[in-house]
Amino acid sequence: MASDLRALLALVALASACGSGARERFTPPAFADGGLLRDAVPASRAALAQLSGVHGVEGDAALLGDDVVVRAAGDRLSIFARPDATYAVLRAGCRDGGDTFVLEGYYRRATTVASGLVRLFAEPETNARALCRGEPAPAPIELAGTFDDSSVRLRLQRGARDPSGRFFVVAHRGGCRTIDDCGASENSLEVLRLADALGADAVEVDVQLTSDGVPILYHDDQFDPRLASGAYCRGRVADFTMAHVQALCRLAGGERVPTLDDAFRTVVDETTLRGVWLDVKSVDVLGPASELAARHWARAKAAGRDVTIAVGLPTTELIDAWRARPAPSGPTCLAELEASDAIDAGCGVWAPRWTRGLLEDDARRVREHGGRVAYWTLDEEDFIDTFLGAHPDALLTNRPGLVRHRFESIGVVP
Amino acid sequence: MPSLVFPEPAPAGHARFGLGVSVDVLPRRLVESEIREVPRMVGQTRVGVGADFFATARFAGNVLSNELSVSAGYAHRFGPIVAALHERVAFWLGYLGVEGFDTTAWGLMTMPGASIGAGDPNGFRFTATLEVFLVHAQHVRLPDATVERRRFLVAGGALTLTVEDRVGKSSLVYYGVTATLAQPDYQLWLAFSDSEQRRVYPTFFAGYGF
Repeated sequence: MASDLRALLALVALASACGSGARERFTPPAFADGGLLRDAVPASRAALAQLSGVHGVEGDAALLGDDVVVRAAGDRLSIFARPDATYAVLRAGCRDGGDTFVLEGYYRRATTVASGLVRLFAEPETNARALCRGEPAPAPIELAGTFDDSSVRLRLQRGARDPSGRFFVVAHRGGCRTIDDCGASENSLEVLRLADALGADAVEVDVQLTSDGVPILYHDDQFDPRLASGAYCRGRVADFTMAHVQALCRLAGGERVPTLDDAFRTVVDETTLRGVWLDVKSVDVLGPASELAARHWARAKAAGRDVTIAVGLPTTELIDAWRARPAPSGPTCLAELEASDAIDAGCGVWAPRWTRGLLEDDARRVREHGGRVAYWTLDEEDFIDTFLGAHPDALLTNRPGLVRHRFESIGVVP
Repeated sequence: MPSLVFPEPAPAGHARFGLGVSVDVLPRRLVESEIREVPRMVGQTRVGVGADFFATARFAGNVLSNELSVSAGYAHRFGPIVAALHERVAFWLGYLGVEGFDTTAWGLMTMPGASIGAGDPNGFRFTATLEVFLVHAQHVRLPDATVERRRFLVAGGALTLTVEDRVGKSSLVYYGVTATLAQPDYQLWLAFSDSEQRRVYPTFFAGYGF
């Protein structure tokens, strides 16, 4: 029996040694000396827009595949590739008196932990000069340079499939989940600022209510180490006042827990995002969240921004509560259960979970009533391709760059 | 009577049956990506087929995630050490039928491996087993669509340490731990995690051999 006990203890010790370990944190790599952009004049948005589209790839096929999607989002340019859902986030500038157009930033292989530095130059030089002057490039667009030590050359083949933006790539939890390590915690202002560069047209955010009635962005109904840090930040979200949240809680990456009001301001004022899906976590938060949604929808409209805001209704209780309230001006509702719920409640969006299948007959009925159809949450390429085959209006995903690439490859504009 | 795991060659027709339970302790990264693992019941048998060859059959299941596997192998004694080479074919079947889910998934794997055992074949004995996970096909059925992945995948491997000890006249108890280094979705492919990073996690198991 003593030998049994010793063996058991040895096995437990061995298992402990191979335990899960600490959470890894991704910090986007940067050029040590500030790179070539340190002395560069920032490129214009018009120049970046000329680079957008589908590019053929010459170089390391294992790194980027045969083609990539290049997309301008504000003052950043992103590259989305198929292998490992790889994406790159770059900024651009002009050097040498406008003779050199350079892009620098980082790439990340989203399904692994690999990342590195990217430096690309616009070629030929006549293009670089034109891009630096904000004029149309006279020659076919080419970008040549390196992903770490791998040489690549990108050649623009065609523009984006959906320039009018009818299809929405919706990024889960504000851009990426905390566990996806995109460089910011889920449901943070920082991840909202990153979301369009990750490939998103819109974001889904989770809304909870503090005890003093402030809607905040947070997924779980409990503050715990999974998503939040702070020695005294433990317990039900609904038991904390906003002042306590601000004083005691930080998100897992150290960011503060944002209010929904701050989140709307960030989306409208600091991003190119065209939509927000509010995942309302309780009936109590529906009213305050809807009022904020209406206010910021009007504010965005006044600023010339067309931002679709959909208030998610994941339960029959929330659908009933929505129907009992006067419909807000501007925002619509998004029903997650049956198509009939969306139609009966007059929701602009029906969003079934992917595990229920394509439900194409129901989707057709929703569209006949003027609604749009979104599926959630799709991250695997084979599943994304299958659901793009149903010609949805939107896909919710933790891999917005991969969905963007797959849409450009096989998607149909709704 | 052969052991359940210890690779001592057994005479043809001699068999051992075992019943137990196993539980994975998943890494935080997998738990947070909404994969949940619950304990599985495990039934297994090992039978000698003569000329130092043996065959095994194993079922581990909890309705949500179920594995049926059969293997064949050859064992040989080298003084105090017993060694075996074996090949396992495993069929995984998973089902999620709760609200909002109507999903069935299956996967086909092979697991070539080797075992080394030491100790008293009729008393306390210790076995180390190393297996490689080779995924050949995975399939998910939704109510109105199917998604297949047929590409060959080296998904990882596992090192299992098993202790067997005699109880009574001919029964035994067994327990141990498996250290698995594998992609999260190697067994079933329900698209809850698309991480291709292999992660290490332990599985604890224990049972009784008849």
